[in-house]
Amino acid sequence: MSEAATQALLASALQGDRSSLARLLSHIERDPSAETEIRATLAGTETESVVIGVTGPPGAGKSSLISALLTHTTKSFDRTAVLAVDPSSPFSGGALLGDRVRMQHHGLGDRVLIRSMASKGESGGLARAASTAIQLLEACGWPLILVETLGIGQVELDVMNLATVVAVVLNPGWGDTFQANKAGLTEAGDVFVINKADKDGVQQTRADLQDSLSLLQSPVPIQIFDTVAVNQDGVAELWQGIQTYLADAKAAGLLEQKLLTRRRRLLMRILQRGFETRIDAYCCSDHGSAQVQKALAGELPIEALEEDLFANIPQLG
Amino acid sequence: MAKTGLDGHWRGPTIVARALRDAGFEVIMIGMANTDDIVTSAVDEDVDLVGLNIGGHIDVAIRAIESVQSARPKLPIFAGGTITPRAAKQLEALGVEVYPPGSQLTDIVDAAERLTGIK
Amino acid sequence: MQKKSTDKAVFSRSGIELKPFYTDDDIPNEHRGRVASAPGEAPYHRGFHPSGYRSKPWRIFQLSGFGKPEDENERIKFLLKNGETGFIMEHDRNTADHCYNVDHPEVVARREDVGLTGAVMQSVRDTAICMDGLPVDSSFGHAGGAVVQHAPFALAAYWTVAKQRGFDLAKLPGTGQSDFNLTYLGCVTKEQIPTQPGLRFNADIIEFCDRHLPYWVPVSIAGYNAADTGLSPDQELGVLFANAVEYLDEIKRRGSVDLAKAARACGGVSFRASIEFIEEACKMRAARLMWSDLLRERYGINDPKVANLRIHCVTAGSKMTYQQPLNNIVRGTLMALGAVFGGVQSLGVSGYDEALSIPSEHAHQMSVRIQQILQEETGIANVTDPLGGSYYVETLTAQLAEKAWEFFEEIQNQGGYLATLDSGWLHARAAENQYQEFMDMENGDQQVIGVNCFRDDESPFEVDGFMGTDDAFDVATARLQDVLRTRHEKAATAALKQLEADCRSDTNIMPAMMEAMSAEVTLGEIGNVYREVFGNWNTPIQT
Repeated sequence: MSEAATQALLASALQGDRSSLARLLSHIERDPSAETEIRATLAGTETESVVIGVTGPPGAGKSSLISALLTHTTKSFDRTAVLAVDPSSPFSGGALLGDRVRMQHHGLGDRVLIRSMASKGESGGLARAASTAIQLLEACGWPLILVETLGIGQVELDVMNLATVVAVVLNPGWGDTFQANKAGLTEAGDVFVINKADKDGVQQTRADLQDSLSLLQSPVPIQIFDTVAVNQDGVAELWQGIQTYLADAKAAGLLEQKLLTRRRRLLMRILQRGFETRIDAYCCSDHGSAQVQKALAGELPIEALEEDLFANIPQLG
Repeated sequence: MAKTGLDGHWRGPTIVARALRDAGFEVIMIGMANTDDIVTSAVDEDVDLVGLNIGGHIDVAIRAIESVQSARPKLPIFAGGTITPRAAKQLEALGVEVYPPGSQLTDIVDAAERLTGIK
Repeated sequence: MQKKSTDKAVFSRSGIELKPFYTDDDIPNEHRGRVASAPGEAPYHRGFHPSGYRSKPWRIFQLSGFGKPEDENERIKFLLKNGETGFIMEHDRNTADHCYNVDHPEVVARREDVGLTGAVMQSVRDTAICMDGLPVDSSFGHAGGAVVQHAPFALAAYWTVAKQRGFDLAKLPGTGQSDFNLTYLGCVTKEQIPTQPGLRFNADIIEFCDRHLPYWVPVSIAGYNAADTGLSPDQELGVLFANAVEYLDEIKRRGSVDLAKAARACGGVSFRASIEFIEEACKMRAARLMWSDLLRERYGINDPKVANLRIHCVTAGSKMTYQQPLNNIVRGTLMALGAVFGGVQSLGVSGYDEALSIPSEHAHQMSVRIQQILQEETGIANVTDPLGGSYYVETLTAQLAEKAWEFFEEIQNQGGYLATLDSGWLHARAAENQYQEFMDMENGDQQVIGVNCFRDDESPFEVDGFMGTDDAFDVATARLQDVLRTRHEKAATAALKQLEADCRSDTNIMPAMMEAMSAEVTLGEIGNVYREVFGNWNTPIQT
C-alpha cells in the first residue's frame, strides 16, 4: 500500500472512521512497510490508554470473562477495544479464531470493538504487531484496551508485556494439572482469577496459587478473585479489584516502573528475535554454512566463527 | 463464518472451518449470528471473505447478505448448508456462491482461495 | 462397485475388523451360552417377546410439525390417516430450544425461521390447538420437549390440555424426550441451563410421572444425536447407558421413587438406525444385552419386566443426500430394515427430502409407506429375531457390546456422562470421527452414490424443499399479545413466582409447572426464570 494511501486511511481512522481503523489494523498485521509507516506517524502522540492483559491456559474462560467484564468497563471508560489473540497453526499458518463469538453479545454497540488476531508463529511478529495495534487504538480514541492471549506460549505471553495490568485466568484444579509455562504464568500476573469457581477444588487452587505467589515477593499484594463468568458471579468484584490495583500501583509509582520493565523486556525479546533471524540467514548462506561446517569439524575455533558472524551481520539484514 | 439460523448443529461448519484453516486461512468463527453481528464482524475484522452456514429460511440469510453488501460492497460471500435448489438460485442472483451438502471440501477451499484472490 | 483388495483389512463402523465370512468358531465363548436363548429369556438380546411383531407390530412414529399449531395438527392427522400409529408434536426450535417467546430479539431477527421445524407453542392455548381432536388416549403421543430446558413446559402443557379434555392422566400413554445428547452434544443452543439443573429437571419429571402418569415414558434416553454428531455405534451404545446411569443414580440418591419402577419407565430408549444395517441390527441386540447386564450388576434389579428395553429408532438424517433425493427412499428403506432386524418397538423414517428441508406431505407419506410395505408385504414380521444364530450377527453383537462397555468405562473414569459433556470430551470424540468420515468421502474411500460418484441424474421430477407456511411468526405474535392481555394476570404472576421459588429450592418443579400452564404463563417468561436462577451452561465448544 502506498504511503499516501496509508496516510489517508490514518487520517480517516483518527477522525473516527471505524472501517478505516479496521483496514489499518489489517495492514499492521500483513504489511511491514505500512506498519513502520504507522508507527512512525503515531510516535510521540500523547494519548495513553489503559491496557489490561487477560491470559491463561486454553479453556479457562478468558473470552467469557472479558464478555462479562464489558458490562462493567463501560461504566468507567467510554469505549473498550478488545484484541483477541489465538495461535496460528504451525503447519499451515492458518488459524481458528473463536474468541469473539463468546464476546459479541454485550449489547453495547459502538462502544465496543473486538478484533481477532492470529499469533503467526514464533517469529515475534505478534508482539510488534500488537504493540502497533495498541498504539493505533489509543490514537483513535479507545481509552481501554483488553488484550487476550493464551498463557502457554512465550510468544503470546510476550504480548502481556504491553499491558498496564495483567489478569491471569485459571480454573479449579490448576495446581494438579500439567500445563506448559506454569511458572511464566505465575510471574506474569498482577491479578489472578479462578474462573468456573462453581466447580470443585477452588480452595485448593487458591492455596496452591498463594504458595506460588509468595515466592515472588511482590510489593503490591496480589489478589485472587473467584468468578463464574457466564453468570457474572464475582465479576463486579474483579473489576473493582483491577481498578484498585491500578490506583494503588500508580500511587506507589509502580505502574511507571512496571511498564518500563515490561517494555524493556519486550524490546529485548524483539531484538533477540531479530538477531536470531540474522543468525539463521548466516547459517543458510553459502559462506556461513561452510564456516559452520569447519567449526563442527574442529577446523575453526568457535571464537573465530563468532567473529566472522558479527563481521557479516550487517549484510544479513 | 457465521450461522444464520438458531440451529445448534455444529458438524458441518466445524469441518469447513478446519479445512480452511489447514489451507492457511485465518477463520473467524462467530457461530449463530444475527445480521448486526455478521456486519460488525465483517467490518471490524476487515475480513476478505464471508462464509454463511444457512439452516433455515433463505430470507433470513438474504437480509444478512444485503446488509453486508451495503456495508462492504466488494466483499465476496459464499454459503453452504441446507439450501434448497430454489433458494440457491436466489442466492446466486445476489452474487453468492452456493455449496450444498455433499460439496467437496477441496471445491470449497478452492473457492475461498479464488474469491479472496489468493490464487 | 470398486474392486477391493482382498488383502486390505475391512472394518465395521465401530472399528471392529470384519472377516470375509464367519463360522461357529468365531462366536466369543462368553456369548455362546446366550445364543441358545429364546426371545423373552435372559439376557434378552433376542427380544423381549417370543411372538415379537406377530403380537405387536412396531409403532410407525414420524417426527412431524411446522407452522402454526393448527398446521401441525393437520399434518399429524394426515399422517395418522395414512397409517402412522403414534404421533410426535414437534415444537418450533427457535422459541422452544431457548425458551424464548416470539418477541425475543434473537427470534425476531430470524422471524421467517419461526415455524420451520415445528409449531410455535408459547402457552397452553397453542398446545390445545395443536392437540385438537388427536387420539391422545388411544394412540401414543410424543409431547415434544426434545431439549432439556424445554421439556417441563412441553409436558406440562400437553398434560394440562389432556386433563382439561377429561382424560385421566393416570391412564395417559405417551412419551417425553428431554434429550441430553441432543441438547448438550449434538445441537448446542445459544442459551441453556447447565447440565446439573438439567439432570434435576429430568429427575423431577421421572418422579412426577411415577406419582401421576404411570403409563407415560418420562424422558427418552436417546442416542440418535450422539450418533448423528459423529459417535460410532459402539460409542452410541456406551454413551446412552452412561446417560441412563446418571438418571438412575440420581433417582437412587433421591430415594423418592422405587428404582426398579423408574428404570422400567426409562426403559424406553432411542437409537439412530444408520445405513450399515447389519451392524445397526447388532447394535439393537447389544443394547438389550447391555441393559439387562447394567440393571443386574449395577443396581441389583433382576425383574424381567424392567429388563424389557423398548427401543424407538430414527433413521439417520445425515445419510440422506442432497443430490438425487429419490435415492433416499432406498436408503430409508434399508435403514428401516436394519432397525426391524434389530427388533425395535417404534420407528421413524427420515424423509427423502431431509437434506433439503422438513418433509413435504409426499415425503412424509413415503416414510409411512416404507414401513407399511415392510410390515405387510415382506413377511418380516412373522419371525422374531430372524438374524439370531447367524455366526456373523452373534459375533458382532458380542463384540459391539464389549467395545461399548469400554467406552462406557472411559466415560465413568472421567466422572461420568455429565462430566464428559461439560469438559467437551464427548464433543472431541465426535469431532474426530466426523473429520474422518468427511475425509473418507473427500478422498473417495467412502463412495456415496450421487454425491461423489455417479452424479448424472435422470430424475422424472425435481424435488425442492418444503418451506412450511409463512404466517407462523405473525400469528404467534398476535396470539402472544392476546394471551398476555386476556389471561388472569394475578394468577399468572403468582404461578410464575411459585415456579421460580421451586426452581430455587429442591422442590420438584412439575406441580408448579402444571399450575403455570393452567394460569397461562408463557414460555418466554419461564425461560427468563431459568436464566435468572440457573444461569447459562458454559459450552465447551462454541457453535
